[in-house]
Amino acid sequence: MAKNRRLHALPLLLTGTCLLVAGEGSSPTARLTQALRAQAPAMGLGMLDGLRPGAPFRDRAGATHVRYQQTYRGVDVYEGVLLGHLDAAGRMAAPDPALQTGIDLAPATLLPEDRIRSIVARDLPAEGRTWPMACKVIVFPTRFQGGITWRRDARGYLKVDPRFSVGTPRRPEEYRWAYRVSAMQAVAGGLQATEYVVDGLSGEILRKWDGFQHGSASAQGTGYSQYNGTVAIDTTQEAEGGPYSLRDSLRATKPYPDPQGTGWPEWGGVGFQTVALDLSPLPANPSGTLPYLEAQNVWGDGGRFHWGLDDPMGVRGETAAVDAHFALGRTWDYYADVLGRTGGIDGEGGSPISIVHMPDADGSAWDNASWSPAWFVMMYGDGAANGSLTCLDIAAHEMSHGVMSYTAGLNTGEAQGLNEANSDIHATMVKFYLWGAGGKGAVVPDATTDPVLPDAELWSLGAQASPTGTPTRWLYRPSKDGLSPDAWFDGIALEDPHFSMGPASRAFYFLSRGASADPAQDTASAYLPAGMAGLGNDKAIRIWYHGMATKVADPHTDYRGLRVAMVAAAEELYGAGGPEAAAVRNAFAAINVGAPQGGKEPVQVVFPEVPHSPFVYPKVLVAPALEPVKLPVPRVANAADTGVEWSLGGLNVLVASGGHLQDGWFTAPMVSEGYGWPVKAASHEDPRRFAVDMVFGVGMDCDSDTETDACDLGALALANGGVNVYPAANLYGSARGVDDICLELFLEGFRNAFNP
Amino acid sequence: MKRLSLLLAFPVLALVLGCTAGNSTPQAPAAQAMTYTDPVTTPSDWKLVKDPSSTPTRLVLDLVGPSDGTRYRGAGFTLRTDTTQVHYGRFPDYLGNPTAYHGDGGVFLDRDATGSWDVAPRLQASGIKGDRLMVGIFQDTDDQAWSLAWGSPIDGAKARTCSTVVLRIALELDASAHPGTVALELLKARAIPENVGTVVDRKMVAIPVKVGVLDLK
Ligand SMILES: [Zn+2]
Repeated sequence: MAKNRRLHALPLLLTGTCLLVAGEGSSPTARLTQALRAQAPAMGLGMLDGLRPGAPFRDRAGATHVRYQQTYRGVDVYEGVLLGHLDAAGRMAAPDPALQTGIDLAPATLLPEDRIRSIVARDLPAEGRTWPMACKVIVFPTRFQGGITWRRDARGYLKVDPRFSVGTPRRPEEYRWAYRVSAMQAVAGGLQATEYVVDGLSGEILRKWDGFQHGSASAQGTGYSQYNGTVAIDTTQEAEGGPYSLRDSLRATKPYPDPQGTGWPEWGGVGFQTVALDLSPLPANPSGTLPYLEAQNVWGDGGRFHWGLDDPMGVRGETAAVDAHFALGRTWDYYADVLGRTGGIDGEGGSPISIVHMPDADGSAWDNASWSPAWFVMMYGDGAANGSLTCLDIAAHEMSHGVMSYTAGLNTGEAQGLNEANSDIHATMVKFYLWGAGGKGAVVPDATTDPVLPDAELWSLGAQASPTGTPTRWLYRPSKDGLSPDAWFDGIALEDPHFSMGPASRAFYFLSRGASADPAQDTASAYLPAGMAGLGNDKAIRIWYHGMATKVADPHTDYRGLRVAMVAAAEELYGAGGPEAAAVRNAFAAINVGAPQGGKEPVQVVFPEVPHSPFVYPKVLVAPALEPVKLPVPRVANAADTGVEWSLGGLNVLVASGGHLQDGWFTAPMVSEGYGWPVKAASHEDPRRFAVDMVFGVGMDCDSDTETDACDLGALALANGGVNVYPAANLYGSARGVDDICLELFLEGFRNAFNP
Repeated sequence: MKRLSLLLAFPVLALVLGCTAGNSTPQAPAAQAMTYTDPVTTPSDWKLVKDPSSTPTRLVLDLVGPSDGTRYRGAGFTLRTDTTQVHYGRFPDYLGNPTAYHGDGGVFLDRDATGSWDVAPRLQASGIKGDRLMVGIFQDTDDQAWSLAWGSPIDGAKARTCSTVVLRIALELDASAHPGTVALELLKARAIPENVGTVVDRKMVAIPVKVGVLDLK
């Protein structure tokens, strides 16, 4: 076939083919960099690969850790990371590589950036204004292509979220030139950030995901906060004799790092700043935000802000800003004084932005908060069921997402849940630190004094924002929310990360507080019936942070990998063979990850991946309604009896009726929308150990002749991009109608049923 | 020429060896070759005709569209045959995996994601359900020009005339097949017409596909 390539020249920027970068001195970090580059061939890197050091991190033992970004021909390699270490004496320790090896890409003329922006703009929902999009050339490993994001719908069914799902067939090449694009768009009243990877040669969207990670001259000003009483906050007088703003330049010492290179926000200066969203149309205010300004440096009135009633820029609006500003300062100090991270989120003092009074996507009150790694910004809603989501632990949760972006960078699958757990764990420690130690000193106490709160209240998240005091999550027993699992199982990555996080939070609770031997207690585990003793908050968080900052190289680290990292961290900090490393092993065993100290490996049930799956979580089996598909046979390790018991369920989601399961074959009923059916395979020998797979049943009879065949693909193609005329249903029940992801699901389901 | 006749001799040799292995039960002689007679057609017909790459044991059939110049955006059909005699053969898919039940003839081309050049359409499906082969290739009929905040307008895919090979399928002879005529039954055939934008109901149209006669000898 004739390819009519009308390409615009775009020279790929090359910085040379050597492994060296400019500006190397004789600092310890520079020596580490040199030494690692010398080792690069042994780690599988070639002449065209490079290593770009990030900000060095010095731990309390004096060791230095540097996270390197892998480059190839001078551009960043997606998820190519190397963690380098120097001990306190300056000797190099074995590095932890998570590198992409064997890249062999010739320089190429890529599609021009404006075309890439058009492709992204076309994929975005047709909504309000879009912020300028920066395009960055990267090398993309095709095994990360695709990706399905699941959401529970309002009724509790698992659905595909088409905004963040791509199912394009996996390319045969291992690596592609690609563009990394971060889009920020106004949707109804709020903002939506979407991250893209677009093929640099074909323009195919290879991957996309939600850009928000949800949680849901210095002067002292006085703030009347809603959650923290009358507090001292650090503000800035913008000009001699002028007003003060909620800008803290005491902690953040460098300007907004502007990762998009778009100059946003145009008013930016040094100091983390708390601002409001400005919805006035372009070009009046290109930043889309408004700073809070007060002549007297007195802020807020301590009352609850009511979305739609109160003025976001008024005194009541300031109250939520005071809370967010205060909480960020406290969290910053906790990272600096307890954990030694003086440079805040990026470790270099870069100034983040906090936007308060962020509405929901439909313009109503938003019951969430978020961090956007690509935009270096935190956002806070005013709550629907809750009050403003600006209380201490939620703000600490969001800032911890920020720190995570610059340390382990966990994302995708189980790692995404571990990222959420990490945020809740630090948020809990910040509460102990502020309310137990007054936010001063280098130790996280085990109890609070001002106010005195019971464990059950401290080891939870979001209680302050709730009018009834009911938390959103419980670290010591995640299942108290009725949805989260208390222990790990294969398939937990099918859950939303705010549920799959549960076991990791629980493991940290056990590590700090121990586990009860009384099965009636919330703090007991069926996986560790004898219970365990805890190490206390201070030791536990030091092990945890040390593990995350210095042992986790791979951004896709899973529960088992995290256990390995935490054991190594405990051994490094407190010695091998000590009670600390044993406690880590026991805490993870108590959530069904690995063996307890001195115990044997538990039975483990794991589903193999679906071959050729275009999805990043490759254990989802798409099935046409009424057509039986064979589930993969799970592997059962460490068991004499490798048999399994099949059942429907295993995730706390509503399961649509009519699914038929027999002998590992599943048949979805005729559905008018796409639904996920979790299928559980539990070990005969130890039914506490099980794996969950997911069949996504899809109505594929698009021409309504009561059977599924290849002509249905034509009927679906007809509906794509035009008016949604697809009669029986669309494939996932999205208001957006038939979309690329529908076609991709059709192709995958058709192959699974008829051409496996 | 010489090489070809040598290859043809192999099944005969195998049969002789099979007999000397001591199988004394009398059996009907197995069929050794497939012959296909192309259908008689008019210029407006679609048809399944024998592809020159066919061998006696692998019959490749080409789906060819009308020669009257009508343009389409994709076509698909469901075929039934006697799978105790023959089975459906595989082809490499457009990524090179040898797992498809069809080969792309290269008639239907789509626009790539940038709208800049023609590519093989990604909407290709083939599979088997019992004795049926289901196959189709369709353009992604997102055919309207589009232009958003940036860049110049981009055209959608163009409909194509189908007078050459649209797609290929294959039938392979079973070792146990016996001589005789094998039914080839076309259960369903649909195409996407050119003018989808103006077809009010945006539906596919039924296409007449003429099928020839398959004999086993
Ligand atoms: Zn979160």
